[in-house]
Amino acid sequence: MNRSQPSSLVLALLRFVESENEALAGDLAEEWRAGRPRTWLWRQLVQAVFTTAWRKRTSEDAVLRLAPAVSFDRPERTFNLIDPATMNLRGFRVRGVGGGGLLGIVMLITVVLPQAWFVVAAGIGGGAVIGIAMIFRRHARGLAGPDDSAPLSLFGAHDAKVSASVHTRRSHMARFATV
Amino acid sequence: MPRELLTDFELMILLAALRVGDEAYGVPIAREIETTAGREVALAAVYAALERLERHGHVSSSLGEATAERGGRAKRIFEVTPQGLRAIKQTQRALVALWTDVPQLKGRRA
Repeated sequence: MNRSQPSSLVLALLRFVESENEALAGDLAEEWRAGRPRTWLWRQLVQAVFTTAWRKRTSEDAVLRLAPAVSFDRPERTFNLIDPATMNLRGFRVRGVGGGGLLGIVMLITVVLPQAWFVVAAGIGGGAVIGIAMIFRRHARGLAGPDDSAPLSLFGAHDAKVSASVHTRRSHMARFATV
Repeated sequence: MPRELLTDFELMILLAALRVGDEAYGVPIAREIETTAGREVALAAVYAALERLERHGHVSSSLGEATAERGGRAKRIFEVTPQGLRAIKQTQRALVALWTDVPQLKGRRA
């Protein structure tokens, strides 16, 4: 069949879906080659990506629930894993900023409601302005971070007391686990 | 034994799988629903429902052939189990019982 190849973004999303459900990715590829329109593919792909992301997230949660049972040798490591304040599964250094989630929302708006392009444009513009403002603010105040050890320092000075109390709580929990 | 009632989507999927027969995987099941019910379905939703049905023992699955059209990816073929057939019949009986003697529906064709 003489069809243009799907874009690299489509192929990347298809690979993401394939990581969790090979048959579903195969079905999407088969239907695309059978002549389904591009809009159909995007609608299906967006839903498949959300389903896959949900399944990945729930399987990660299942692993974390098992963590206390599997890490008796290093309890402090276990509690580092299950403490929700220290989990960052988004692959992004700053906690609370979910790049994947934002990308999903943008894709959903683009596919489902293309008329609302100004929402996406305003979001991108606003994000850029806030990012630049924060860079200038950080340079002016000489703040440390941001990273997982000092997540709040993105918006203000790193509070050493808060950090110390978190570490103390973790060590208490670790000692409790060894009893 | 408690009655096992299916949701409308699960019922449609099981019936579509039965109509398709031996080659019941995602694409033909979704196409069957589109053709007979006039409703576009998401393949991801079809698989999510099929996996739920498999967990409940209403369908079983096996890996099929991998073709070039699918980019070398294997098909997952589904088969309705005897338990699934029982659930379909129980759901049908429940729906027919609800249908019966509803004055607003008497003498009308859907």
